[in-house]
Amino acid sequence: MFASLGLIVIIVGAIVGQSRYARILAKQRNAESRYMPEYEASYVPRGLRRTDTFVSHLSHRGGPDIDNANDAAPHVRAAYFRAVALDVPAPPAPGVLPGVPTGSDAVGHVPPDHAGA
Amino acid sequence: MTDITSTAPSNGVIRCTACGASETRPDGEWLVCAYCRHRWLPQRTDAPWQSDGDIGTLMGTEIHAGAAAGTGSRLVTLECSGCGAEVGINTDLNLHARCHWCRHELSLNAPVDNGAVPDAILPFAISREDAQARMWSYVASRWEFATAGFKADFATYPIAAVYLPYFIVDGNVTVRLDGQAWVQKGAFVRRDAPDLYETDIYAVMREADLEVDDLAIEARSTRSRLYSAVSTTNIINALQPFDVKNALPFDARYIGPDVNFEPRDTEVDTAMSTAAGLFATMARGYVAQTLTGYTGHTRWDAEQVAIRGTRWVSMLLPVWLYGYQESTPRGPMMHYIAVNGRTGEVQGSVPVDQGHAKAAGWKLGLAIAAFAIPCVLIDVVLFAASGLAAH
Repeated sequence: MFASLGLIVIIVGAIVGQSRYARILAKQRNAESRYMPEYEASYVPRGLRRTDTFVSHLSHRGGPDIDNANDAAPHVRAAYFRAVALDVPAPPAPGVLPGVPTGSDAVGHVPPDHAGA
Repeated sequence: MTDITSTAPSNGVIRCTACGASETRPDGEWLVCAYCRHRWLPQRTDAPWQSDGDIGTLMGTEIHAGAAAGTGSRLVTLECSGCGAEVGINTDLNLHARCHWCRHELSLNAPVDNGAVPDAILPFAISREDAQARMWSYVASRWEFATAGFKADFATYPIAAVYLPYFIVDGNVTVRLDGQAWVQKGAFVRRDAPDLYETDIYAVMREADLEVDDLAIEARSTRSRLYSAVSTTNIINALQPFDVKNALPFDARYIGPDVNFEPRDTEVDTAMSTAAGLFATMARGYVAQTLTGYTGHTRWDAEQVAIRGTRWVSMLLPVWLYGYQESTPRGPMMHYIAVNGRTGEVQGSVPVDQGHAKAAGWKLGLAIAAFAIPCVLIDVVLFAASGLAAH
């Protein structure tokens, strides 16, 4: 029994030693440092629209987190990325339906070609 | 894309506000008259990088003169034969230079196109002595595992003052993010099978309108590529932010005899995609506060950036730089230690003495493993005792 305990301690020692080496390399090389515009750049949010739609319930084995979660790495682009330069203002909404933004309220409106995922 | 603004940067003579002499030298942000010693701060008014109230009305692409094409006369750019970098000098004050990246002596025989005269310059606020002290403080905590060659070089080699080119961008954008998120509802721990998790799946969409003010983007292509496996240019990137609101209209006199600059080689068209990526990053950071309920995290599958308007200004930003080339089995690798010339922030990469670092890891591992020896000895003694008892 004590020999098994000794073996475990030796394995733990090897892991801790390797981890110490990796920490030294990371500190010296500083490879993960980057400019973090999400915290350090100046911006003013003018509007936020959100939808949260329940899709399904899942019973599953494996980890408790979603596969390929990327919310902790905002600097890594998603699988689909599109940037569109709109050189002209969006056309004003007709304004005949209740609730449709018009005039200056329509500035925050995203044109149809941009709205699809 | 429309070129809305064509205000040329000031290349005319700047005269002393006291005596009218045109011979001046910079002292930090200030200019000092060579004749009457009068000090004054150049005017900052009406500069495009200082306005932040009209970003919401930006439409189209507004490119200021320094961010468009053009050439400067007194500023000469030399190509380094060592690493290929392009280093600029002010020939009014300086006729020789050394590459601040790899330290090769530069030759006036290899001048290249100068690029455009920038719109603005942010003078150094951190002195050489202060920058050196900050670098020493940074390196001190990494000294133990630094290579011997680096230690000898760092102790003696002077640091360089460099102006690096950036685009300063204001943006009026809408960013839409689509993805999936999980909410953990619990887990069943099973004795002879893997744990079973219960999860609710949601389709999430976030759309944010952002008015971005003074986002800095590297305008030198070789510095904006971040391949950390083979280079340490991420160090330069991480030096931001700079207080660009305090920038002054460009004046070549700020590029003194001991100062180099790098010309811009990136155009607005190319940098636009980088800017769009950074806008998306900022939106991701902003909407993170709305995702705290998703305990199983979020996967963004699609990011779309609609850019209504941008304003582009080119600017030289101050950096104190120390460079050291390490020879590795995979080839040479440049390590940089850089100090933000305005805020004093230090970022750096120090070459590792691999043998020393591995030994430190082994020592700790062996120290822990040493606890195994008593365990084994106790087991041996117990085994022997049980053998004796059997006899």
